[in-house]
Amino acid sequence: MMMECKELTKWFGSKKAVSEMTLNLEGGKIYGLLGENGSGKTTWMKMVAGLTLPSHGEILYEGHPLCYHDKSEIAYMSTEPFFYDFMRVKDVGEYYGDFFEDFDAGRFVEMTEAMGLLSEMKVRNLSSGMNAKLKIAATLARKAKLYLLDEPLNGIDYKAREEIIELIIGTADGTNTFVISTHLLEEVESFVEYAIFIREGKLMDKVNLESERMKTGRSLTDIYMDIM
Amino acid sequence: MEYNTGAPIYLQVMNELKKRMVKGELKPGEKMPSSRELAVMYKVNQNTAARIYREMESAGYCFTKRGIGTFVSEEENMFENLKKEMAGELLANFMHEMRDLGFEKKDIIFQIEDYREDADHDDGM
Amino acid sequence: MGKLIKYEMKKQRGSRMVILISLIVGIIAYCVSLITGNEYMMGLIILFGVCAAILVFFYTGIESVLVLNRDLKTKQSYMLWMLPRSIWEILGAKFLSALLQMAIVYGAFCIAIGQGIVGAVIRFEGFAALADLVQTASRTFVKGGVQWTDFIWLAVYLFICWSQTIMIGFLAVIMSRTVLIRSRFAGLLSVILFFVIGFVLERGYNAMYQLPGLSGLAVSLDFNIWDVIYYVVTGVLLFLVSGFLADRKLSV
Repeated sequence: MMMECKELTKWFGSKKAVSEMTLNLEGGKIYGLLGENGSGKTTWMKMVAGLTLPSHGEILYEGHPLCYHDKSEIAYMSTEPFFYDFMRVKDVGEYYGDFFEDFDAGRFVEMTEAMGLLSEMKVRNLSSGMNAKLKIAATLARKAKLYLLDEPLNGIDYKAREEIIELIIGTADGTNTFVISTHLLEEVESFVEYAIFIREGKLMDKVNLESERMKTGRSLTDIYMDIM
Repeated sequence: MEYNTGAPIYLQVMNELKKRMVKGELKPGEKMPSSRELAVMYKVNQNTAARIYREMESAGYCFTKRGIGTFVSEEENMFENLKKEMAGELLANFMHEMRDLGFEKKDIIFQIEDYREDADHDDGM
Repeated sequence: MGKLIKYEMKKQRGSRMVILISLIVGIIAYCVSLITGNEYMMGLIILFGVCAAILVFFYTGIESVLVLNRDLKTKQSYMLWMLPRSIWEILGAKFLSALLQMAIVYGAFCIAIGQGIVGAVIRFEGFAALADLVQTASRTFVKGGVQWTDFIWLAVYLFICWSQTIMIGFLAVIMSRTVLIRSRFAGLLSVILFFVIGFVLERGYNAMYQLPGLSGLAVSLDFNIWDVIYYVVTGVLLFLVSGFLADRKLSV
């Protein structure tokens, strides 16, 4: 098991953002993390990415308690833009190259160019769609073992979404693992293998979509409506 | 590709590939896309793409040369069989649905003969 | 560590450039006033220069705290927390960058002041006077009882007091961002916390000299090792608490 969460809980003041979540992630799979806004998806992802510590519970990565070294194998991407204001597109590549050994600078250039990002463009002048593309290019140019993508399709137009999905599928090679949080069910339905449903910080279910389609003929939307 | 989201994805992609073989878009002996290309092309994951090739291979529609890739089968009659098989499936479905509406085979044949190709009909796919 | 410092320095590049460019403009204006002999203009420039130097002195001193505050206020904090680096290395890099930034800015100011004095002496008194000045100054050093050790002590004092301030600033910012996160009052709270922590440490300092065996030392004006020990120990403590808090709570 590449990632094990045992009774993972996170309190924010008196609010329980994530509540006793016990969940295992297998290597080589694509997981969809589904739930409404504020259901605890982002908080769970940040804990697993090592950005924030759980209030209670345990995270095991490849069998050992998650520590900061593991971030060299975990590629996390937040929903919001997070690059420094002073950066240009090529500086983002340099930054990732400086800190992540698994970063493939050539692939970064290839991806950004294909999406129309010029290396001299200032990050702070990019449109939200362009910024989303830059984030995904930087994140996917890493050869990480685990990719945690928080709402990668949020706030961007249809064409950009398709481009981003194509990059994700092209990067997922069956040995690395993806967790993609989204509320756009139809967009991810065809390639997500397991859907993880979260409501009010609780794990509702983990469903293998293809076997569910075979057994009951339910689409992801059907399952979502049934569970949530 | 538009999926019927209630049916297994791998079967739908397999059907699509078979259709392309029958139509001659994938010719006998031709190299098929790598499983990664297939995944991107049809928006499926690696494991599904691998499964598709596994199933197609065991059904004899294609074969794998180690380290080179997957190729469309070279047996000519395989294509004929495939074509018949797919037509049979479609026909069976069609007949089933029409009978559900209360048509007899005779009426159906009559209707088919009466059917105008150039009329503005949706062909379903 | 080097790479972390590289990016911290880049964050402070804007202010560094503004300061250095203004300094160069100031020097040029000063030289012009020297050559033309316009004493009114010269006086004005020196007055401005001193005011600017005081502002820059304080601003540069606490700039790293402001940068940390800005990092934590925005999602840009992910740029740090997503790295496979320990919190100690990240905070340590911030501290060292603060030192480096000060060294650059203060260094530039020292050079500017030096050239200002040299220029003025040469302009009005000639080269001989400059040589005289250097000689007199070094003689006063040796004869007047000013010793090099005093300078070293002074430097050590300045360094540990400044480090203390930075550490208090780090902790204040981290604490306030932990509690208030992105609220507009977080800035205000960190200022209040800054003074509260400072006050507590001051009380601790006084309390230390109430201890038996140390009480006699407090009144002496000499530099003493206990001050250094106190500041170093509390500085390290502040650093540890900051890192611990940051590790547990920061990214939300």
